[in-house]
Amino acid sequence: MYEILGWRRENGDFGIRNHVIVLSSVACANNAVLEIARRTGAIPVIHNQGACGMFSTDREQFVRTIVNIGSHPNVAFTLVVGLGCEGVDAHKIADMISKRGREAESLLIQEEGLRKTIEKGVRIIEKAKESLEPRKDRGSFEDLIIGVKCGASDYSSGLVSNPVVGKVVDFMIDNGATVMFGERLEVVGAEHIIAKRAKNEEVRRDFLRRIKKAIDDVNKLGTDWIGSQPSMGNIMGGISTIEEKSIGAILKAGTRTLQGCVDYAERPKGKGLYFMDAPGFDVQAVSGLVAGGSHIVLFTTGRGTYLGSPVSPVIKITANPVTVKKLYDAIDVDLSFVLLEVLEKDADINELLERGKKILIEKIMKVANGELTRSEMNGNIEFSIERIGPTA
Amino acid sequence: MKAIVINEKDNVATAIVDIKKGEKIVIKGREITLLDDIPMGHKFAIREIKKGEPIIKYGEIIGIAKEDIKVGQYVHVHNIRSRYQGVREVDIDV
Repeated sequence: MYEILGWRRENGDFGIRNHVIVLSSVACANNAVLEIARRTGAIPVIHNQGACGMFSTDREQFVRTIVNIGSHPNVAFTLVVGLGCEGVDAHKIADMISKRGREAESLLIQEEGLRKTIEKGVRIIEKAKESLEPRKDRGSFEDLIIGVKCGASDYSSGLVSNPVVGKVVDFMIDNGATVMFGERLEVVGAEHIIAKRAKNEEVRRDFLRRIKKAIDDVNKLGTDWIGSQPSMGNIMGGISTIEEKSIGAILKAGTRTLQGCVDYAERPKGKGLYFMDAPGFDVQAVSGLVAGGSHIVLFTTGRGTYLGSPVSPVIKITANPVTVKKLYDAIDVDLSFVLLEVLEKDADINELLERGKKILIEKIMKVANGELTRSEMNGNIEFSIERIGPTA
Repeated sequence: MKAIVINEKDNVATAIVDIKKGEKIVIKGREITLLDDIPMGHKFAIREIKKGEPIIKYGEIIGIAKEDIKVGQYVHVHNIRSRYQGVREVDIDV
């Protein structure tokens, strides 16, 4: 019943998309990347960084993120374009992508010249496109990694969208999928609930250490983060305490055992539920989840957002009827019937949430089998990598 | 129904539209008269909550009553407070 057709890669990865991408290894190459993409229809992956003036764990995180995007299961071929003097240049990035089992080539503007880079890039992409296979390989939920994220949350997120996603997450995990959630500071106030679900003491310690560090890191900037929560906007929306805010947010991670934690943009090694040590900022969070191998991101929103990702479909879900109307061209799953039917028909909320679960699972199946999300139709390519340290 | 009780353990309900003071709402077969105006997305008590007792929503403790709270009374930052004072490894059961 839950069979998916996609692309089985040589290294065993299973893709639900077969993208040809042009990846910038440093922001200095962005314009050339955009021009090659414009001329060929390949997907550009640009960002405002590069392994330039970047140190230690910050540099490792940057490299991990773009190598994992270039070797993502949804990617068939990657052309990496760089300037040439960046610390980890496009050749090295392409080499690392190839070693991870994905075809990749690279060009450096300082080696080729600007116009030649673009012309060569166009030829490389056109050749890569000729050898693309059709969607024909069988896969299942066991092949999928699903990322979950909430953004621009409001009263409807904690009451409807996040509980529905939580039910779907449990269902996906019970059927063999891997699910990742992140937003380290959104967990604060509810960490004991997640910690209780840790697979073992080691995972529990690792998870709590990461949450403690997240609070310390913000406080080092001279602020009292916990004291600033919940925000004035949260309070106006009815949220009274940091616990209430975070418990409403973590509902989207379901109820299953926490198998482990991964660093930003790191791929989980097993199946089941994983915590990614990622920020709450939507674009950086989704970029991290996708680089970590998410085939699909489930994104719940209250007031609405239209973001997407260059390599993975983002399914946007809202239960706010006003947002459904205003952002009809950005929302994929409309759960606004839940509160309306409670209000007008005295309907049972739990039955409505179950109905929402079925609708979302159907949507995931369709998207996994090729139906485009709004973010894909709209051509969203937001991509931003979280920084750790200063730039030299 | 103008309000939702998310979990059976909860002692507060969440309004899904603005509710006026004096309105009556039936929650789990019991009629509750609202003692305050409750804005959409905000909470009111569906059980008596004594000062120092936990406020329960989503089946979890979201705070502590700063004063006695009557059934039908508005529950928000004026009469409840957070228990959070830093990373908690475990918590008491609801």
